[in-house]
Amino acid sequence: MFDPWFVFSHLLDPVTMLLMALSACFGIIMGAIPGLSGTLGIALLLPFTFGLEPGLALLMLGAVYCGSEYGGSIPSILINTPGTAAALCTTFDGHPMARNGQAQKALLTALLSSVFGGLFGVCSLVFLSVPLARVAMSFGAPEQFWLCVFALTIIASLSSGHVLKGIIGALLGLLLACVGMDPITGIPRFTFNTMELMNGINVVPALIGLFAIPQALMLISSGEGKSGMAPYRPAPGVLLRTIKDFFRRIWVVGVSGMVGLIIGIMPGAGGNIASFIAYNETKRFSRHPEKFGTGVMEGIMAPEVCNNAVVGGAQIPMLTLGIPGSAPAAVMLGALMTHGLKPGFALFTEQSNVVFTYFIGLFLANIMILILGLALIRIFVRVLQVPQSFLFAAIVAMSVVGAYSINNAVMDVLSMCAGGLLGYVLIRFRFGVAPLALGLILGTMMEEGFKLSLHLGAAEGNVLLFFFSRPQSLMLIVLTFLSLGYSIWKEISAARRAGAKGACHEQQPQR
Amino acid sequence: MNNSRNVDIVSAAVIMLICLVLHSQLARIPVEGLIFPMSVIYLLMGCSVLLAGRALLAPGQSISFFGEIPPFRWCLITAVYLIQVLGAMYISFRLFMSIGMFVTLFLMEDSHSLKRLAFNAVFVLCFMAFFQVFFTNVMHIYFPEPLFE
Repeated sequence: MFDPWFVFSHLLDPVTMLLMALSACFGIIMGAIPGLSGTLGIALLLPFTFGLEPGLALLMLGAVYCGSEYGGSIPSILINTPGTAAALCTTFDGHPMARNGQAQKALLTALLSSVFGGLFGVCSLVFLSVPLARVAMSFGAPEQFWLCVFALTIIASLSSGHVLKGIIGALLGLLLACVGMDPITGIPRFTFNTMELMNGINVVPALIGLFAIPQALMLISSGEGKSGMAPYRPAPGVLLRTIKDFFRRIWVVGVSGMVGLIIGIMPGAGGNIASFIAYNETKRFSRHPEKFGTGVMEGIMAPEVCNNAVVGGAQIPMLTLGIPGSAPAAVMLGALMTHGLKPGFALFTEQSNVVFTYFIGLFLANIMILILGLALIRIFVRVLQVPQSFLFAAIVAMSVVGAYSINNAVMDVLSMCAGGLLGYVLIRFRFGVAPLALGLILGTMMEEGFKLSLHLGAAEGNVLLFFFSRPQSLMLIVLTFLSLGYSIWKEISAARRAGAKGACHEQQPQR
Repeated sequence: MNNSRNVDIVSAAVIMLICLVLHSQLARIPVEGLIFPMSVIYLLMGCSVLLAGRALLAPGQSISFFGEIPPFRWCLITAVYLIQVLGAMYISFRLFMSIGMFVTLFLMEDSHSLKRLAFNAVFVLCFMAFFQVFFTNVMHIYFPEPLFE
């Protein structure tokens, strides 16, 4: 039962506020350093939350997620290098604005947009989660199975850019989830007669490896810090002028927030796709679309509002259906499970205090980001000059310690290490790690739904009818085929376009 | 192996091999425990055939395993990372973590000086002190030290 007194007394506790502020700062720094990301930040902070109450632990990870989305805009504006993939669009207008001597205004616009986008996402999370959780309650075993299939096909097609490779990644993840004792028969599978694999592959260390180690290995390319930074010279009065200009363009928050919310809810799409769509939509709605790319405020507002609205959107299916909407949400789901919480309607009824502590806390976290962004911007700007070598050493050390501290098990560290190397290979060969990670997370749930459906269908006399005839199942099957068909059509037409261009280039010299 | 065509064909072959090995692991398992992983294995085999087929038909793009990283540097740092992890787990956590971090910092820097080495040593010591205080003293997580036990 939701107890407002408990939630507010818990949230307004000075220790909670301090931990939230530290997490938000950590998130901003992770986002601000190019090559690092919110996913990595959440994975690295996870072991620090084990001793904490689940609501506070989730809140700390949520604050990192929100902070990293804002942090990504800082290098986009100052050094024309996006801190996170979702902040790529911010470079289009952010850097030209900074080059024009308006770095402070650009950074303040990014901050205000991030906070408003974050608040938009949190409000949507609060209002949409409960109805969706009610829908989830009506789902039976076949729907559980088809939901996993839908999530895997959509993430496979969206995250890696190659549908077939994405599906292969997701299937590999499902196979990894089968390692260990079968949940129903108790018979060991794929254990190669080793005791260490009997309990299966622990999801959280594998996720730490998959998301942290490849990013660290990519840092090897450049040992030294960044150069070519746009000048940042704070001046009095800019804040008020920026706030005034921001509210004159408040419509951008509505348009981009909606885009971020819708794309965020879709599994796997994430902020990088959403911010491009939001940028294009804002440009389409603008009275001066020709000015985009030269350093206009709307060009910073659109991607920043959008990628922060994605944070709330991506967590709606994560909390209600157990299907993460983005890579950071996938790690958050792992954290949720590590803290003994199971997504779904029961989470909202049996653990309502945890859920509402998290929701209201996220609201406060966004306000905290505003305060931190205003007060500590000089420090965040300096973070851009940290040498990559220190980051590499720190990420590797934290990953080892984080993986070990989950169960004090050497096997977890080895699976983190193997996951890291596998993740690097998958990224380099364009398979992507997100499909594999989601397959690993959803594997158990999918197999459970599959087997239960088989049993129930056999009991009802027709397995096929039980799998394919229920209305919710049918809807999910149609959605799966639509998303898969659209992705395949998109890939084929892109290949044709590339082929046609190639043919044109070959013909030109002959003329 | 910079062509995506070669990469895809080799990937398909490796996946097929993994599928066959995993398939052999499912012998003598009752149908209940076998049906889901077996379906996944067959799907994976089908997808890898498609991947190889597509690679043979479509033109390949350039793919690089190392990207912009010099291959020797990548191999060296990855080897140090693996030794660091295995040593930390099976020999001594403190010793291998601190040496591993220090060596990695040394290898990743473009130029070396005594001042930098001293700074790196302080950085590593601070990290190790943080692990000791936060994880061992506060959270009571004891890292493996077989060498000193």
